[in-house]
Amino acid sequence: MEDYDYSYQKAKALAEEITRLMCERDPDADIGRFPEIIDLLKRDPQADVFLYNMSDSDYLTKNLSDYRLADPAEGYAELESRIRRRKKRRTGRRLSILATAAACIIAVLFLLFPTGPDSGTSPQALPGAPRLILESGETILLDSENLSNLFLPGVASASRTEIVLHENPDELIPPCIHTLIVPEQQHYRVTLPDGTRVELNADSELRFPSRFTQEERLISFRGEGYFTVEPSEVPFMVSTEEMQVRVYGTQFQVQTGKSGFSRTLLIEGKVGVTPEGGDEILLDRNQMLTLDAGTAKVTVVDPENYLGWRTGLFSYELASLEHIFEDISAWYGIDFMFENRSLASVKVSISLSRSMDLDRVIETLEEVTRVQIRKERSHVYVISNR
Amino acid sequence: MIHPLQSGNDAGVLLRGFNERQESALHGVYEIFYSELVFFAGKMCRGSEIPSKDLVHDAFISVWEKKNLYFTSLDKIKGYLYVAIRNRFRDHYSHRRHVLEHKNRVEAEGDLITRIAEPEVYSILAHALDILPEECAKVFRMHLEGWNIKEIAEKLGKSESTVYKQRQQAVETLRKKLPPSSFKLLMIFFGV
Repeated sequence: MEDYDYSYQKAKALAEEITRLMCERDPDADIGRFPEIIDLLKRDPQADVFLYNMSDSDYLTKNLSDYRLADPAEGYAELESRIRRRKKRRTGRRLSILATAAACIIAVLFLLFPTGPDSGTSPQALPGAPRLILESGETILLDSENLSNLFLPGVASASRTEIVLHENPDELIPPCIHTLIVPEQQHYRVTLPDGTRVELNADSELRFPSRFTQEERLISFRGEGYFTVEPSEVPFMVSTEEMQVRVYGTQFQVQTGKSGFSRTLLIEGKVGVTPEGGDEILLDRNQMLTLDAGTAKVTVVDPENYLGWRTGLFSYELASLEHIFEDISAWYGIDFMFENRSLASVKVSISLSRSMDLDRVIETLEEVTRVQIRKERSHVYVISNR
Repeated sequence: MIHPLQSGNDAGVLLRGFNERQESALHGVYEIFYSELVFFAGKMCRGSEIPSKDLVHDAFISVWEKKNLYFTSLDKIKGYLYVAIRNRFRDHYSHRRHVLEHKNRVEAEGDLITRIAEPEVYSILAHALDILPEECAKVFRMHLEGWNIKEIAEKLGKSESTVYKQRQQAVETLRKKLPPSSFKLLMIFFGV
C-alpha cells in the first residue's frame, strides 16, 4: 500500500482549508468563493474540478445532505455478521470424529464437465484472482495478463494458476517475504526456490522467502495445501499457527483452521509434527494427524478422500457428509449446519467437478443422500432429514 | 458517539481498543468514519455495479483481520481505510473491466486526494451543524446554500444584524474546531 497516511494528511489539510474559506468568505462577493486556492491549484485539473464543486452551493448542499443521511447503525449489523461468519467459517473446517451409528448411503456419481480443473469456471464467475503481497505491502493481482512485465523479487514467472521462484536468485537483492493469497474457488501452484512444489486449495495463504537461507527452509501457511518437498540437507519446515511440520523429504498435505484445528496427512516419506508446546509426533504413510484444541489424534485414512481438490474434484469414497461439507464450504465460501448431528456422519461416495456451480452440487448431494439442504440465509446452508 | 474533532481521552480509549481488536472499538470506529467512507466509496462506484457498502465493509474486515497492524492515531486508521477502499475498487475493477468504461478507471485513479477531501469537508460541516444551537445552525446551513445575509433575514423573518451575529457564531465555532491555517502546508503538499 502506498503511504496512506501522507495521502490522508494532504486531503485533510485541503478539506480544512476549503472549510475555513467557506466560512470566512462573504458569499456576497460574486467572483467565486475561493479565488486564492483556485489560483494556487489551477495547474491540477483534478483539484480544479473539486474546488469548482465546492464553490457550487447546489452541489454542496445536495452532497452534504446525502452525506448526513448515511446511517452507520444500518451497516454495522451487516459488518458484524460478516466478521462472525468468517470466524465461523475458519472453524468450519474441522473434522468431526463422531461415532454415531448412521445410515450408510453409497452412491457413485460422475458429473464431470468437459472442462478440466485449470480451465475451470468462466472468469466473470470468479470471486477474485490469487494475489501476491510483497514485503512493501504492495498487492499484485495474479490475473494472467501483463505479469511478465512486473518486477517481482525472486520470481521467475507468474500466472493466474502458477508462480515459479528463481532457483538461483540474485544474491545482490536482499531476500524478501512474499505472501500468496488464494481466494475462494481457486487452485494455485507454487514452486519455491529449492524446487519444492506446493499446491494450494481455495482460501489458503502461504508466506515464503524469495531465497532460503543455508540453515533452514521455513515457510508459513494457513489453509489447505499439498507439499512435494525437494530432498536436501537443509531442513524444511512448515509453520502454522498451532504447529510446526518438519519434513524429511516427502509428500504430505496440511490443512489448518484458525481455531486451533489442523490436520496433516502424509502421502510419502516422513514428517514430524510438533504441536505448539508439545512433543514431535512422527507420521507414517497414509496416517493423518488431527490437532483439535491441543488434543492430537493419529488415524489411518484413505488419502483419496482428502486429495480430490488437486484434480479439480470433490471425490470421496465413503466419506462423512460433514467432511464433504467442510470442503464445499471452503471452496464456495459458504457456511453449513447440521440440524441433526447424526446426519454429519452419513457416509457418501461421490465424485463431482469443482467447476460446477454450487446449486448443482447441492442438488446432486440431495439426490444421492436423501438429506434436505436448504439455504437459510445468503451463504448459510442447513442440512436436515427429508 | 465521539467525533474525531473532539480529540481527547475518548479517542485514546477507542484507539487502544481498536489496536487490541476489541469489537466495541470496531463499532466506535465504524460509527465515526462511516459517513465519510460510504460517501467516498459511493462516489467512486457511481456508474458501476460495484456495491459501495461492500467495499467499505471489505476494507474494515481486512484491517480488522490484520491483527498486527497497529495504528498510532484514529486519523491513520481512517487514512488506511480510504486507501484500502480505493484499492478494493481497483481489484473489483480489474475483474469487471468488461462492464466498466475505461473512463471510470482514469477518474478513480487520478484524484485520491480530492476524493478524500470531499467527504472530509462534509464531515467538518456536518459536525458543526450538529453542535451549533438550532437557530444558529439554520442560518449557517442557509449560508452554505448560498443565500446572503439579507435573503436569510427575509426568509427567516429576522433582523439582518441577528442573522449576521448567528452566522459569525457559527463561523467562530467552526474556526475553533479547525487547526490553525495549514495554507503553507498545502502549498508544500501541492508543490507550488
